[in-house]
Parts: sequence; C-alpha cells; structure tokens
Amino acid sequence: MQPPINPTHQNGKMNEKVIITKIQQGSREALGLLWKSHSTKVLNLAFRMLKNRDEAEDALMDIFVSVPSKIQSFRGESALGTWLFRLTVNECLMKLRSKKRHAELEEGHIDVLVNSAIGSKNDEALDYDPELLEIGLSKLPAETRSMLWLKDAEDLGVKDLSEIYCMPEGTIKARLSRARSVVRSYLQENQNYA
Amino acid sequence: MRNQIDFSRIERITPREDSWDMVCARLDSSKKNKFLNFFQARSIFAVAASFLAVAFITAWVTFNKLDSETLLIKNVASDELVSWYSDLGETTDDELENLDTDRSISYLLQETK
Repeated sequence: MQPPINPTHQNGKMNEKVIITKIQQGSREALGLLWKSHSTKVLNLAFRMLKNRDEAEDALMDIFVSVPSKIQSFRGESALGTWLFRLTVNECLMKLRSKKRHAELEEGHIDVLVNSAIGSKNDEALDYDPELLEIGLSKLPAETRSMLWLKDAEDLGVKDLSEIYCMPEGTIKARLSRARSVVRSYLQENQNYA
Repeated sequence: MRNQIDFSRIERITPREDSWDMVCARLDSSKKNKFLNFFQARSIFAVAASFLAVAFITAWVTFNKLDSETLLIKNVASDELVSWYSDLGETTDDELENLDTDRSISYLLQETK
C-alpha cells in the first residue's frame, strides 16, 4: 500500500503549515504526504550515517512513527524538512551510541589529517569512482559524514545545518572544510591505484 | 559551489515497498496499546479503591462492635446491679447512650460501693 494522495491538493502537494496542523490533529493522510516527500531523503541520510541498509530502514520507520507525537511540540520555526533531518541525525546518533560505535562518533581524529595539496581547484575536474567516494565518505565520523552529505548532496545551507546540529555556523563551515579534505585525500590516494 | 564534493553519482536508495505499511501498523498498535493502558490504569485504580473501601468498612464495623460491647450495661455493672436493673423491666442489653441512664447508673454504682 502506498501513502494516499488527496486529489484536492495540487499535484499531491499540501502547504507545509497545513501538513503540520493535520499531522498534529492525527491525520494519517498528511503523514503519508510527508512520507512521500521526505522518506527517501531521510533514508539516505540515515544510510550514510549508519552504513547499513536494514538499520537505516529501521531508523526511517522509527522516525516516522515518532513524528505524530514529536510534531506536537514543533513550532514551525524551521522548515519541516530541516526538522526531519534533525530527528534523523539524533535518531542515528542514538543508535550508534547504543551500539557503542565510538569510532563512528569521534570527531577528533580527523584533525590529524589534512593535506594542503588536496582540495585544489583541479579536484572538480576529477571523475571520482562512486564506490571510492562512498568509502571515502565512510572514513568520516557519523555526524560529520551526515553534515557533508546534507550540504553537498542534499544542498542544504550552512544556516540549516546550524539548526540541525545546534552549532554555530563557523563551526559547521570548519567541520565541512575538514571533512572535504579527508574525503579528497582518500580519493586522491586511492584513485591513483584504481 | 566549486568547493563541494559531487555526490550525484552515488546511488540513492529508496524505502522498501512495505515500509509505509509497517509504519502504519506500528502507529495503529501504539494507539491500541494506549487504549489498553488507559483501561489497565483505570482497573488498577478500581481494585485499589475496592481494597481501601473493604478495609475501611471492616475497620469501621470492628470499631463500632467493640464500642457497643464495652458500653453495654451488663458489661460494666455488677451482677447485683444488673439484676436490680432487670427487675425494673429494663433490658441489660441497653447501651449507655442516654445521659439520664448514664447518670442513674453512675449514682447506683456509687450507692452499691
């Protein structure tokens, strides 16, 4: 069964405020619309963080099951998508913590790396192997990995990331810069052997 | 932005076909559980209230029973006095509720000493 689409809404789209109000009132249809518009993005973010398809699916379901209760305290100060990404990041971090995958969570170790030669303008011309890129991304701690994914793959702004991770924009920018350096470093090292 | 990493070639996964159904099923079951929990909580209160009521009634009955027994004339007066009281046509099962009776009994008790 697929989530329902109410024909009275243009192209199956509903105003975000209406969706929020309807979900708060317990509408399954509105939740279905939210699922249709955001479940893939949420799943991919969870997958990047957890690095496991089944666990990502579990996280996706846990998040959507919790939406009707959690949305009661949502005041609409950020976009619904940003709010969902925050739920996703928190849910995944909780799952990682419960598994004690500390290495996934520690940010510190990426400070060591960084290679000034990497991250040059020439990088954009390189055609990275997607599998290699996936592995390079997995070298990052889960939180940083999700941050880089949201910024470069989902095209979120630094301001949105600042809301999601509750961090100053400067910190987000610094972490993104370091994360890109780590990934590029890995790609450059391994591209030569590919 | 030039500085960004191009993730466009990375494969995006999509939710499984039955994921939405599973979300709905979990939401329905949590609703049902809430409903059951409501009644379970109510029944616990009802049982606790019943126990309290029974305990209160038992204590009340016991207390009253003891109270009436101690105040019966036959329990507080001497045999001689009880006999005299019966001769008056009164019953010795009377309780000392009446102030006049109480005073009379007190007077007679003093007289018989």
